[in-house]
Amino acid sequence: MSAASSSATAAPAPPKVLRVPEHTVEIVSDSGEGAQKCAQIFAAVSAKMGNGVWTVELIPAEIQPPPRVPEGASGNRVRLGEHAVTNWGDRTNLVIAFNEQVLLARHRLDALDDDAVLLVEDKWARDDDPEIVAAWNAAMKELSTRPYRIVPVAMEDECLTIVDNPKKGKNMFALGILARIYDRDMTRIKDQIAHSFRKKSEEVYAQNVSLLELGYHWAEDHIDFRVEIPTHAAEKPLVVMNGNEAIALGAIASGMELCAMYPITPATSVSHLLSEVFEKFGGMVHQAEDEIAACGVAIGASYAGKVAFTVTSGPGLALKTEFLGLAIMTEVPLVLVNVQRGGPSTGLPTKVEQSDLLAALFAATGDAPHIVLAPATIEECFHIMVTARRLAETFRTVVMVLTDANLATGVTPYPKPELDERWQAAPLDLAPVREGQKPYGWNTETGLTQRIIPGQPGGMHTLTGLSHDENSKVAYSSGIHQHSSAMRSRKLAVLQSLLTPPPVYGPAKGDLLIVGWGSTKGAIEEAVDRARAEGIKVSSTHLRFLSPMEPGIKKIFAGFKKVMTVEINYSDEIGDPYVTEENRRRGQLAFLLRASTLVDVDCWTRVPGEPLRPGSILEAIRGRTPRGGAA
Amino acid sequence: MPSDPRVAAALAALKQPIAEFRAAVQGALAQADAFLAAQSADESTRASRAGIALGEFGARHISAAGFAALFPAVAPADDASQKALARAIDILRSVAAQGESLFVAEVTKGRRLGATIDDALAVAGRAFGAIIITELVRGGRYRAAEHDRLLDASEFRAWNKAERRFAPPLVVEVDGADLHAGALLDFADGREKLVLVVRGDSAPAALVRCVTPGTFVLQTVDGSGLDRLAGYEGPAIAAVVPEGAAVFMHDPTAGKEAWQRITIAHLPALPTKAVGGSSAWQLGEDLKMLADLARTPFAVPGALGAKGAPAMGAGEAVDRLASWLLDSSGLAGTA
Repeated sequence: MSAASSSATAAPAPPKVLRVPEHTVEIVSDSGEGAQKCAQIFAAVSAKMGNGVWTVELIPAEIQPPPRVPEGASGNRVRLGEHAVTNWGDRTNLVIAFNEQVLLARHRLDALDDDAVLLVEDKWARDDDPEIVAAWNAAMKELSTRPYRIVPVAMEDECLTIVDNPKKGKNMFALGILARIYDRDMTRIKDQIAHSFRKKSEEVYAQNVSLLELGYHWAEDHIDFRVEIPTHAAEKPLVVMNGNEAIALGAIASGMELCAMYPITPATSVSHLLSEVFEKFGGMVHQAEDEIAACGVAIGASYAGKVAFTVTSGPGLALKTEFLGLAIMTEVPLVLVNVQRGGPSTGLPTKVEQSDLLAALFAATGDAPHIVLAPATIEECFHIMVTARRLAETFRTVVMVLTDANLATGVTPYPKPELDERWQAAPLDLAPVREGQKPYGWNTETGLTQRIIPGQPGGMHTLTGLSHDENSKVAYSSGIHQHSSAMRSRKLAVLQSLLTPPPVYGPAKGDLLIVGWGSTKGAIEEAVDRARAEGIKVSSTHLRFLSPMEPGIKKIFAGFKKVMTVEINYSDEIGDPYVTEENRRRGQLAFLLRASTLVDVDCWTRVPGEPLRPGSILEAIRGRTPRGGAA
Repeated sequence: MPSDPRVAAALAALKQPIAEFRAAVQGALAQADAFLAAQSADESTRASRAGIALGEFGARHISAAGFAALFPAVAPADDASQKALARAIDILRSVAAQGESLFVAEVTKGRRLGATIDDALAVAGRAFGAIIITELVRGGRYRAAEHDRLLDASEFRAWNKAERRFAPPLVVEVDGADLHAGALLDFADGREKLVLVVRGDSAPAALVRCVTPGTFVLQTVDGSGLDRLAGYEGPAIAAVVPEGAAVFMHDPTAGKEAWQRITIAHLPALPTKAVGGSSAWQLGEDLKMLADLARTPFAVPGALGAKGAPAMGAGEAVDRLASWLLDSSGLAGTA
């Protein structure tokens, strides 16, 4: 570690310019100090200037943790690149920390690169409370075990020259420092500040700009390096948003008319955005009294001919299961977005996990076939809503969209969608029901039926969750139940017959095939690239359809000596006490793939409460493949 | 554009019901166009449409041709059905293309108010026939002999319940002398909204005879209250009258009794001269009836004075009743 005295109080010399293809920065603070706002503005401006960007929110598990404890670290990681960035990377190159305890948290999680530059508020070193000073000293000692460069910054002293309450100013001061180090366009930053504080007064805006400029000039005088990441103008117009915003906008674009929900982390912000804009597009958000009611309202609206969806996270999914069964049995279309978080139970509300896959597939009791999709990128979060709606209506079933906290809160630019009004077409032909048409007049080949809406002349029938025949008459005959079960199931086989096989990233033959799903795509493919650069014969494939699964998977597997899933869920490790090949609990996708392909699919899974790092996946690849391309 | 600014103001107030009627027409037109397009679509066209409907994500992972093939091609409509549909589409297009004039009528010299409204609504009402024809053709239920008359102009009295709920609102310019309330009652059904813009001298309380428990009735000078009329879920009739006429509102949602529903902002003195075919005595009867309807069921000093009954809240009515009881029993002021 460079000594704290390397802080740059000396006379400014021309800064050393570090030209790199990518760089990762974190801003961390106690909750409520605005580190996330700082990072969001920095990321948005960087994206607009032509850098690839991926951000990850660092959120404590508690809403209001005590101050100055490592567990309370709150902020963002922003990974910047010359080209598109698809994941949060491995370690951070530069940190701005509002106290040494939150910095320590990142150090303990091995989140910091060995040569990281750590700019840390140093007022705690001079605090009146000897316990705080002791904590500072202990932290510095612990940090000194790695060769970081620590730069003390008198943030509070500086901010107090402009504001009375530095807790509300440090984030903009930090933004100014970043603007200087990364040579960000100050006009764009000011525009972004104006946008972020558009509901506040002009005075608030002016004060934030003053703090921004203060930080910028402080960095000019005190920071002896700059980081230059080449930028490239986008070929197409880009939009910058997180996955929850993409889901919300995708819902509007797809012609959804109702979002029925109950607040739950990390899904709630979908409805936050919708509540601001949905009504302008003819939609509405209904916050129900609980998760169960939210699902019921969405099903009821859909039954009546509206296009409805509900959004939730793990514990909410558990509560909705009875209603999901009803929607499947009555063949009422429903889109359900599940933003996965750590579980079981309330688990890790703010942390990413992919542990709901099996729950999503098998949640409802009885035989309840339905469609499960998983977007792999934030861009796909937008477009998948159009597809989900269409599939739900065509196949008259539940379509679950599984995202996760990584997609939900991560921010990245992607090409502005080219909207098509045909996405919003009315769901139904409301012409009078044809003579002889039955409410469940299943096509015996496909299981598909034409939907009847209450009020359509000639379409009167009783709706029931009980087993029923083609006329929707309650039927207890085993023959009818066998037939109706087959019809509901057949729809998935039909959909599967229309799917294209998943593409393979890399050659179609090799030593190892990595299989992933959901938000891990970027990290997996980066790990695969790095492994191939080392000579390892590894490829990957990423599944978007989990029920039904895409076709041709077994054939793809046949091109590789080993197949391994990489997932953010729990699996036993061979070698752990009592764990054997026979009783080993595997990753959830591995479980499914083994069952559906009879291939001995291995898995590497982790539940760290954060996105997977490409470096960690690379280590797993190395551990399962021979080096140098030898078989 | 109408030259009388009161007409423009009335149209602005009726924006929502106008939009609802237009949406019904546009929706039917879209359905009809889609049906015609489906009639002529070959496999590749159907696949292309399916690909778009599935969105970018779906198009990358799902065979659009296979998706389109899941549903049988639309059964071809016979010649008679196609011709009827073409006529229906023409009517819908013509109605959709018409601007505000569709929602404005004028009672010209020699014509009667009722006939003018009937004719104006019948033009718009052809759209309802066209919508039904569209549905019949799409549903394979069209029979020329039985259904072709639907495309003729259709008077309000022939409209069914659903059509009356989507009835287009109408602003009618009329001379005060031609304003006969009786002609309006035929249209007080469904969600029909009529706004009369009255020119010249008129009966001071002509619309009072339109007051029924479920009809929103308004006389206004400056257009205030038209927004409430537009939002009312039942039939509504308003007149934008010249200065000096009675100003009142009958809002069926305001209470069970007539006096609770009627608010009088201005009640003029009894007229001394005839207007149009109505004698001064007849006009005076209108005013007295308005006052009677608005009269509270107990003595309220000043309630029926020259300025009419002020609006009352339920709490205020209770206070007044208490006051009247005390007066009646001679107990006032003894507490």
